[in-house]
Amino acid sequence: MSKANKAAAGLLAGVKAGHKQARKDKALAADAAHARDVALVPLASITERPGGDTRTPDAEHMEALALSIDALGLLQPLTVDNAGRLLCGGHRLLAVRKLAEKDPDRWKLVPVRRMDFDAEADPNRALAAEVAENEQRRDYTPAEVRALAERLKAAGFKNTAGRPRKGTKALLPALGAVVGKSKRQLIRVLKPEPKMVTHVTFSDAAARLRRALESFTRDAVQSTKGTLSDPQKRAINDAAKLIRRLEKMEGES
Amino acid sequence: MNKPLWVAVVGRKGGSGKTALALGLAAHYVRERRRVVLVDLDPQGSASLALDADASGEHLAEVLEGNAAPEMVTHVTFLDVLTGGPALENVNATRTLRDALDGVEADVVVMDCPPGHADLDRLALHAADVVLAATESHRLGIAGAARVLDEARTVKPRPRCALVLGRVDERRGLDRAAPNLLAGAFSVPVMSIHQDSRLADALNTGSLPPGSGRAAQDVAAVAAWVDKQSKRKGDA
Repeated sequence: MSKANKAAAGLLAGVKAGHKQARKDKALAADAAHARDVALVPLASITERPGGDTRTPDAEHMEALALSIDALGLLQPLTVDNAGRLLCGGHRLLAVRKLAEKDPDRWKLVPVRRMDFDAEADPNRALAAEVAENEQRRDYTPAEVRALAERLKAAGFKNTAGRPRKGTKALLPALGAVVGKSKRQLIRVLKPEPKMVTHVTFSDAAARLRRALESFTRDAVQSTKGTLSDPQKRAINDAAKLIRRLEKMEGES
Repeated sequence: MNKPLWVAVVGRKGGSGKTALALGLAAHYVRERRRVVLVDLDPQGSASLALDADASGEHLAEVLEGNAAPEMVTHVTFLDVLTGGPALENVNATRTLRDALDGVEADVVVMDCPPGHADLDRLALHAADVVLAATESHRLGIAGAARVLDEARTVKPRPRCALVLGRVDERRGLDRAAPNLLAGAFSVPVMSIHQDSRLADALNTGSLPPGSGRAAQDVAAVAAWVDKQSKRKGDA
């Protein structure tokens, strides 16, 4: 290996190591955020949002959630203010209450994250907390989604084509209600074989191109022993620029 | 009052040129008669120390924990410093930097981030309009930059990011190879700050980096890129 090639490989090894560490950082941060300030409190102590629900509850979503919470437990704690008033998790609370009608002992205590303010005195902050949770909802990795799918299957949920027959427990709606992904996203995660892509968002496309460019650059550096030709450098820079433009378009669209 | 532009200088690895870049930018803006607040998020208080300010206070930690209102140390006209110090190491921030500095008058807020502290980096990335990842052209620094750029994309969907190579000396093979290679590997703009002893001297003597010289020209180019991003942000 030439000296230049060794130098380039060394730098790229740094890039790779950094990406790997970042993935670990992300997982650790998510776990820490998840575990922070979570306590078990009596279900009966949680009261309604002051001023009622911001959105009308979606009965279908609530049913799907109830099924999956029954099978998996309440993975995402409810959020309440310092007086136990609900801030985030309207559907989850309705679902747990429904489950508690059948099995009150199992749902006597539920996990909540308590925020230290009074929602009645500070309704703006209550709304901000709700919006923030919806925006920052934990993003489940494909591996986590597959693991949850396996647990649901073990609990009798089935992934059937078409509309599920009455009485059967359908996998995708229950899974989707937990991880907050659409049916199409779930199908893609659960069946990772390549298939025709008919619709991608700009940021999807940009992320894919970014990965492709990274691997292209690595190969190019290896095959030229680290001495990229000017046209190659131009091509790489042009591609990088296009990717940035693509990301920007999403911001403006 | 215009909203300030928030610039985070991050890097994760120690000695990657973060403080030199942050102070270089601050000096550049001050010379343009723009009001700068320099936030020293480093438990080592490097930026504070380089400006002859107290690098052992607990003030910024108390501000972040919601127990104090921000009080700046004025270094020169147009440059106020929110000093860092060891208490930041275990800070349990209860509010964001933007909330903590709400109402502070500034045109630019420059955040100098610490080495090896993911939580403090995250506070800065959350507040930032523009993220500058500082590194040298070396595997160990590049790993830190990759890590923190990924983090920036986790915190915000489309952050304005650039990689800034420090202490560049083109007689070194690594410094010649790095810009193109990393532009491709990260698909972000890559800029260079050249080796310049006047910059190092300034950090050592408690004075602002000089307005002329190789590094000053390079910092001006970085500042121009940052301004371009802020205009773009205004358009959106």
